[in-house]
Amino acid sequence: MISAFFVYNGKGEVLISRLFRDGVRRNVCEVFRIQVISKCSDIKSPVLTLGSTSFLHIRHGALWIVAVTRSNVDASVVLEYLHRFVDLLKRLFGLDNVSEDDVKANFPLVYEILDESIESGHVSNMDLSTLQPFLSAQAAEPGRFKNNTASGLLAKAGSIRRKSAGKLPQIINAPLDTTAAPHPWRPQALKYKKNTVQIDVIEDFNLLTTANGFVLRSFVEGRVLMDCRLSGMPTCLFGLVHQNQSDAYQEFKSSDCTFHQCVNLKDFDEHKIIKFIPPDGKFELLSYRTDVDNPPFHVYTTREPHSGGSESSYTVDLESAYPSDVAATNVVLRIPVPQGTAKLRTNTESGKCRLVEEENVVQWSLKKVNGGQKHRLQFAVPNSRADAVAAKPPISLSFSIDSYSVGGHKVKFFKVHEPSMNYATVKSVNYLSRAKSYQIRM
Amino acid sequence: MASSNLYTRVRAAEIVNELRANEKKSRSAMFRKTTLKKIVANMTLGNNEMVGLSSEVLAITLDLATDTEVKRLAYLYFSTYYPQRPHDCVDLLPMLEKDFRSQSAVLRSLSIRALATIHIPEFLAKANVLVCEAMADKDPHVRKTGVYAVSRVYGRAPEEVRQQFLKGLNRLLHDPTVFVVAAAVDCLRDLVENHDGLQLSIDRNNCFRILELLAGCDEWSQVSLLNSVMAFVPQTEDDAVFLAEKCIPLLQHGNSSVVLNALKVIVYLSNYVRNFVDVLPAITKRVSGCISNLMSKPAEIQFLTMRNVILLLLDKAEMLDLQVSMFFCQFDDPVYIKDTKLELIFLLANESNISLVLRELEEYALEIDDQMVRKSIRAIGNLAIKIPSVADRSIEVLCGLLASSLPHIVQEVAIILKDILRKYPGKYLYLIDSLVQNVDLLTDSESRGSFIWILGEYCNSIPSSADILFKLYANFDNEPTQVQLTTLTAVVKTYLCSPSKKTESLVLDVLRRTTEEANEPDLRERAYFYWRLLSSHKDIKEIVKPVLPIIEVSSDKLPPEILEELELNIGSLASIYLRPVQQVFRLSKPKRLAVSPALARAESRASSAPFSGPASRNTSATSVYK
Repeated sequence: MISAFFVYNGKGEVLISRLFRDGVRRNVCEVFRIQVISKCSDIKSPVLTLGSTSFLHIRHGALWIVAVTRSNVDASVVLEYLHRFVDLLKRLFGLDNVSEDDVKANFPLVYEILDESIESGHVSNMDLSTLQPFLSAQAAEPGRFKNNTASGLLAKAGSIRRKSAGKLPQIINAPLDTTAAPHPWRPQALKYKKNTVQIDVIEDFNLLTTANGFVLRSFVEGRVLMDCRLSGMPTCLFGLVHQNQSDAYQEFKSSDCTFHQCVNLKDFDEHKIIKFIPPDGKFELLSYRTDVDNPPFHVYTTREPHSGGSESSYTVDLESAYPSDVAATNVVLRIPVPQGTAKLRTNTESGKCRLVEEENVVQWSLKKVNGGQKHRLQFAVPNSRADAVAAKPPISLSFSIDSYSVGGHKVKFFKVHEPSMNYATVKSVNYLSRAKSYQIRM
Repeated sequence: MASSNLYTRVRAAEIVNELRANEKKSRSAMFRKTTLKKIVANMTLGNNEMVGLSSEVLAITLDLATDTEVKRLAYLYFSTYYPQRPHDCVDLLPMLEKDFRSQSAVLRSLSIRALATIHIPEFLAKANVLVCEAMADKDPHVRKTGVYAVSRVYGRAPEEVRQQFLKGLNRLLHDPTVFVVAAAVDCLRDLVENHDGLQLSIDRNNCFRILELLAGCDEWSQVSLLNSVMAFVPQTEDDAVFLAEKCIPLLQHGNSSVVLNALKVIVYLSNYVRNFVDVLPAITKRVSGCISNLMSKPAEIQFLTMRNVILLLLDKAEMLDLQVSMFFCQFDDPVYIKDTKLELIFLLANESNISLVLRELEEYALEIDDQMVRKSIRAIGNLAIKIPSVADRSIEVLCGLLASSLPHIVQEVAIILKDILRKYPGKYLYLIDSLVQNVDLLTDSESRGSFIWILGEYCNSIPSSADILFKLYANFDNEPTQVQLTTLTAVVKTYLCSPSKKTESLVLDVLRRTTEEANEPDLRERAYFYWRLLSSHKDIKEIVKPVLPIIEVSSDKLPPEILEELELNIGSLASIYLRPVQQVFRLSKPKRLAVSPALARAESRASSAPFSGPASRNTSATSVYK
């Protein structure tokens, strides 16, 4: 049960303050400011309990979003709520990052959201489509469909059309019972002139290796994002397959994925079928985590003190290990160098290399790297005395690969079945792989 | 005017003047709404002058009564300042009543919410009537608001109204709309937690019915319904298995709160099944899968997840099969994540993954962050104590680290070495030599105390122990009491083991100094005690330096009753602290596993603590869920 809710800016000024229950007073916000925000440098825990009052917080940019409770509250509900709250603001304002000014400019709306999403301290309703009818304050229109012109959608549409579903078992064809199970996430009586579905498969690659290349952890966190603009109450079927090395399709690994609330979990559990009545607009259908044996890039670094003794020279080799018809863009390798390094001698045939002094890294950027290539960077920096005891941040790599799934996943089919209206749906699929936390220890 | 400008502090008098000046102008409605926003923004900033504007706010609200946004802001204003301005609130009442009769469900909800928030007698009297009506409203959203309003006004309602509320809530447990059922369950749980004499229990049919509802409702209702299953006591193993199977698919939900609550229910039910993991062999894979999913959520949720994994590892380890590498630290993890990961790495370490674990811990031990370094060295040392078969390799790593001669590494090794030597008497004495070489680095009292203790206890194995003690003794007066006590004992031990001119003079000096100059009574008493023993001229070595019992793993176990209660609170704040719930939240009611024929370990637990079953507590059970 949430007793109070606050949003602070970076300086600790209260932007939003809402009490839901007796037992706390408005000035409880001072306690959090003094105990946590002013000690910003070391946050020991997202949860602070003083007496029997607890503060749970998350950060979003410079903002602090804080829930106050007086009992042994279900922290999973509160933390999930805080994150959803930020997501909701982002969607309502149509922004990727919500700043102090956005909150100030829309504060009546923020209070309305709090009013409707928390009832007497209980989280009750958080879904934009069901929340919308209760909101009267105006916000900036969310930037839906900004990059998706109709012609673009049509061009992509061919990629996903699949053959008939005659082979699929009976259970797939039966629509979900729309009368028995209500679908609180979907508004009734939607009507679109053109029915479209945009599917984005986004995979974030995570890698952690030791200095000598031993892989400690290598996996993708994938998300399937949908933008559904479908009429009526359609039942959708979605199939994702995993394509391994030997090029044989495999059933999608099941235990490490999570679904949006609209997916019928029982069907998935028993028949491995992803079946759902989608909410309107954008949502995340599922997320998954798959271990990957072959990371897309290999990085080898050697560091030698120069013969003269005044410099250290680095050799960095970058190898791309994906098919050669695939290209990664914006490949940026950040190699930490000793603190206070001010001079850099480099030697490379490909890409650009520069020293970012304030962060103590050498940044090597390659605009485009095709699969199966090798690139080498050599550079030298002066030795420094602080070197021996300094922190050793890892080398980090960022990249993005369009139209390719590093985890080897592929959308196999997407079927829409609306019992009363018979319409054709324009479907398109995009793949995007990128690095989330790709680290090589030094 | 842009709204962000509203956040500038204004004086109440300015607002009054502005309002008056604009009264006659054409666009006054717009202007007055903006003024109201300005007042609320200032209230948020903590500008308490705004309390004086209540009559102005009231006027604006009544004037612009068609604007819902204005109403919300005004209610927010009055729910903040009603204790100071009760009379102005009373004037709102007719409008609220009118809204409650309006066609719009939004307005009806809004007025119920305002009535339940502003606790003045006139409002409460009205709320007692209207909340009951709201619970019977035709719109489910209004019914939901009505239900939640009960939890605000119940405490101040007279007894007969309370009975009505409970009757209404119990009726709504069979509402056709699932989120109303969920709200009713939520509210009942809330009342049970905050009021004495209430008890929530749920019978078999209703519990099964609720689980059927789970599939078709929104995620927050799922959380409430899952919690209501905790009030059901399975009477047979089959029931428990059936219910648990129903919850398993929810472990793959995208909402971490649904996942953790499903996990809580499964863990709860597992107590009512003998050999749960054998009955449901898939459970290990599913639970471990959901943990790895939760580990890709934001840091705060990862933290909560990991604290609960620790809890499960202490008591229900058979449900988990986790890769230790999942918990290896990232360079940019927040401190609290790193700490918890370290704890998990320690708990998950075993003979088969030890080389991976040691390599990882060694990596952390060479980091710059000295807190992290200390914790990982402590973990390496504790691993040596916990798993004897890997002791040799752990000690090797420690030895390698000592060679670095970095102060915080040496200090931490000195602290942990004491325990290692006690666990493996006669082994690993060579570590002492490396420490002796670095004795100057032991600048903090804890490590110095530990080292001095080692010098005394193992004086036979350390040839130069007397010399080192002599050197450390020079600083005796500046030491904290604990180190002084340790030094005193160490000197006496050294003297008894290798009596010589040098040790004798040392012992005499320390005894003289402590008995004559020390202010600390404990220190003086102990010195007198040794003195008398020494002057008895008997063989007192056995008394001063007895054979020590071999220590076991430091206690990472919690008592079973505490584990039991924590498992019933998976995902809660108490699960983060991993401490007895009542210790952190004094007012929370204790939770225990209810006895039933199916309870797998009823005998062992019931005997260890007096158990008060629901039957005995259930004296005036008013809200039994039937």
